[in-house]
Amino acid sequence: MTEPNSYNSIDALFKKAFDGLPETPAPDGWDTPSGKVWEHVQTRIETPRSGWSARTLGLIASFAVVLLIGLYLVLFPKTTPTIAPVQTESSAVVLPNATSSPETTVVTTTPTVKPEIKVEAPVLSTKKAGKKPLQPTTQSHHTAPDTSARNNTEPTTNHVQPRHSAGALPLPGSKLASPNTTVARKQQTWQAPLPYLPTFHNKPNVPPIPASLRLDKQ
Amino acid sequence: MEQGNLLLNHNANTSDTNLMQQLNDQELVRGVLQGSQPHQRALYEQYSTPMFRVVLRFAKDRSEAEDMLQDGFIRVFRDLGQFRGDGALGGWIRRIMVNTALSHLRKQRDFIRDTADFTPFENKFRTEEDFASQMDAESLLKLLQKLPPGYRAVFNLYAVEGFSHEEIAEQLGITIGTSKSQLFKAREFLKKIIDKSYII
Repeated sequence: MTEPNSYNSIDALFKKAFDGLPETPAPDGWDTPSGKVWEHVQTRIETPRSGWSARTLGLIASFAVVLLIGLYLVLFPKTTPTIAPVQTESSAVVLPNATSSPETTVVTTTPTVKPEIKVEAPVLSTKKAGKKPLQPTTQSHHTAPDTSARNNTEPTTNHVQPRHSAGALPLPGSKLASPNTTVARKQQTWQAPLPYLPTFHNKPNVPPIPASLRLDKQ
Repeated sequence: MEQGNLLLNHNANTSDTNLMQQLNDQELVRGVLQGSQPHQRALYEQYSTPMFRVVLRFAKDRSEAEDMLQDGFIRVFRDLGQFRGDGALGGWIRRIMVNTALSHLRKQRDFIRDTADFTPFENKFRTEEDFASQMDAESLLKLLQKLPPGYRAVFNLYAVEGFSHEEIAEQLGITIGTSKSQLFKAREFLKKIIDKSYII
């Protein structure tokens, strides 16, 4: 790359002038910065920190918090809701009197931990109670679980069974008569006297029937 | 300042100057990294004057040069842990100062421009040799500061710092052609000022 000598001399002039400066500052101070520069630099200097930095400490602290929360959740799991034990207790009161089967007793008296199991436990026990029509203590097959549970608690001497199905068959060996609900309802209905029909003769506001309209005029 | 000069003078009088300079640089760096304020002050005092001369050539005036120097030393103290010691500490600091000055110039809006206020030099010289002998660094610095920022930066990087046009283009974010044209115009500008300063 060839350049004119005048350009090279200009470049050399400046380079020589600036590179040949003595290391000591000029007496007139043109190459000495003012004291404000160092003051500003001093205020902005970050002193190196010994030990762990704030970032490291923050990471360690956050890890410790997460670890503590995890330990707390593992050692102290969530307690059961307040509604679930009430349902379990209510079923536990009813079901032991309903049947004396061992399955029902076990289900109702077993303490449960998880709420899901507690909610399902009474349903399963009542189904089991409803599926026991072949037991000698029961009279007939029950369609509704809650009714069957209630009927299991009643003595067998109760003759009126309003919700019994008409086609229910007696258990083999049973001496009880078949519960005919139609007949029972008929008997129950006719036990009470029927109310009298309204009579128009006793009411004062009713006008008398004209003779032309009477049927018994002949 | 005196401490830095004493260090420099001591190094100059030592037979193994480079080794002593390297050791002193290492001691300075170690002390600064340990947070020693006397070492920080010593490093600043030792390198403030030569680095101020560097940034003066890129700045338009003394105030702007002090801003560049301040930001440069803040970078030096911030990044001193990256200094590996395989070269001279002064060269490493000088590169930071040049980069800081270029960063200042890049922040200026359209610092690469072709217009320049041409004012002849007041002094009258008989010949070029007379001009060169009479012009000291301070006078040349004032002459250089008459240049537009783009001319000044490219001329400084090429003529004084020894950068190539590729490096200048990369540093300033311009094309190589722009770098060459800026250098040409800077030289023309300086030549006109010098020619007008001669006594015909």
